[in-house]
Amino acid sequence: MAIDPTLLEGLKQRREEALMGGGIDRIEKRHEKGLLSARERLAAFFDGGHFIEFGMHAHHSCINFGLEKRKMPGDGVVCATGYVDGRPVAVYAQDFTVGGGAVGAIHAKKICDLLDFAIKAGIPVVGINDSGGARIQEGIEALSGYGQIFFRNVLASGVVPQISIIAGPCAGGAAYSPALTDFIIMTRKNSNMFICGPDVIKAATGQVASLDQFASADAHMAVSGNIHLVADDDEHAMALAKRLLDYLPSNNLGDTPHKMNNEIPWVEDNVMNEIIPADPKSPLDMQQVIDRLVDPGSWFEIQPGYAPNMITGFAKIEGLVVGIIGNQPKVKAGCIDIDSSDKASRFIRVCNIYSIPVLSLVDVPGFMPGLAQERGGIIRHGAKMLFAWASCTTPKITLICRKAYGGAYLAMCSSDMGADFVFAWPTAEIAVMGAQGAMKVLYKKELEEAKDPAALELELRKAYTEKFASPYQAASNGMISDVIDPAVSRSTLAFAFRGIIAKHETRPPKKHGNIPL
Amino acid sequence: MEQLRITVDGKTYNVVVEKIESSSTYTPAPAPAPVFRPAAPAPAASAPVSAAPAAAPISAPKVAGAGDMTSPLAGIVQAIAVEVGTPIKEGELVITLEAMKMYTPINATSTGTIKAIHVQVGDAVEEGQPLFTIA
Repeated sequence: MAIDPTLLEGLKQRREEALMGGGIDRIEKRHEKGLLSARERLAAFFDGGHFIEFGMHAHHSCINFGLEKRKMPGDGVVCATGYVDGRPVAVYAQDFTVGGGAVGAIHAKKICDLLDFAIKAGIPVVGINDSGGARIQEGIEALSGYGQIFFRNVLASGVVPQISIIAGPCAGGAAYSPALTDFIIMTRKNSNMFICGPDVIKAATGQVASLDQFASADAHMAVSGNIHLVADDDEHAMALAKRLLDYLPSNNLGDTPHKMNNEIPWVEDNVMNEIIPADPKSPLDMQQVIDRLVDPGSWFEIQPGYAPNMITGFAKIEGLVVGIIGNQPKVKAGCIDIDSSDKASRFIRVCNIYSIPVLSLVDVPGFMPGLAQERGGIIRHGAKMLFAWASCTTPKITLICRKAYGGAYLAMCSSDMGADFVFAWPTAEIAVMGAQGAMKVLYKKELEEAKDPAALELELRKAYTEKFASPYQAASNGMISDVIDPAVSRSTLAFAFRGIIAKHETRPPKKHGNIPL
Repeated sequence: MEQLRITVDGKTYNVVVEKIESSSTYTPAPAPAPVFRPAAPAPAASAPVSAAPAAAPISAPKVAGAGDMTSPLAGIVQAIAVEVGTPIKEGELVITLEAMKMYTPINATSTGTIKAIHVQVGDAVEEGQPLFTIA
């Protein structure tokens, strides 16, 4: 009673047809451009190149404009689950060889089903976007499909990590699904992302703009801040997505992938002292500080090209996964401005969702002064940082390297904002404002009446600096856990994080707070 | 109709612009290029964290062209490390600005020769103002 062989033959035929997508010609054309096909992208992503597909035999339901005669294998999207470093992950890849990867009702349903599955299973979702947009023949059905995807992106947000890869065109409404996810990786060549293209911009406003100016990976990294990582090509994009997963749990209740050793060595790193300039006006290179604090090779910067006055990224310290927020005094003096506030706040919130401890490295002279900043709403944007820190319940440690002035000091997570430990180097300056500004407020009258105001100011400024340009006033008030030798920063942080790693903090129940957007 | 706010020599004018004809049938007479001067700097006392002394002269910002390196933030030119004609490599220090109690190094973003330096030590510069040109 063996199986009827024609059934197996029929299945084989159907599978072969489906696996070809839009046909060998179109796939070869992609190869000539250095692009992978949808299934090749999945194979590059999953362990051993193996995955299980959902909806291989799906087909569109459209009977308009002659579409009923056109075959569209898988309806232009491949949905699958497989394993990455032994952990299950759900991935969909739009197939540009099938009807330009355009989204119709069934195409959207496949993506929605995959998102539902990922939420149910508690596994990360990676979406590989490569689509010409809505399938016009399906009309409002296609639009409805986008709406259903958006809704599920939001349901999944904060539950399972969502990573979008932009590896082709991603225009109009299609761009809003990636925008709703946690991370966007974009390939440098052959991909663009925009709401209105050059033709629409020109027709509506008369402005002449090329895609390179506003839709390319480099433009989105440096200017709009819409994306988090730029990839050289398809394979690199897959590798970056896999690397991201290495720092994230599978879901919001899962274990953060710490790989802790049994012992933490106590190491003195004297090079750390050498990279701190003696002149307080010479900028400290915060990147060098980070490189010396984290496990070699573990630093993974997020949004490296956007608002570089604020550094954000993941790393491991003695095997412990941490998110790092750091001021970069080499750029814009390390001031906090609108863009850097947005960048840091979003990163802190990602760490909070996925139970990743956060390290704040402080060297900040203040919020960026200027008309554009005030008019652009630095109050609202800076407030996001305060909101993000105060609502973050994961372990939080602050290391004050040098300057920590005014509201910017609070925006970098002082003990008041919920830091579990605050360490300071002896070079730390913690004050409400700099000496020059403080003189004008504290001694305005005295200086006006003085015979030699310059000499008096110098004397008063010296006294102010001695009192405040050090960490000891804050330490005497209990605002600092300890003042430490920079050489033992790495070991101190490793000890402190290990001690607070099991922290569990609850907040009053509510729908959600009202973060200033 | 579009409303524009134009500031000339510190005086603000509200201007209403109405488009009458499409450009194919209506050609406006060529107007002389307008000369813009920067607004006066805000007094330092109102911004206690600003390091810029109010007395510092402001060089007139120009429109940046090709090869121009512009200032990333408002500040004072503290030092100029090169002269016109100096060969320069990408990443080398050209100008040091002081702003917000901090020196900000301005490095060359391309390799070439310093064709022009648009500022002097002690100048107050605005964000986006051209500092030097590499050719």
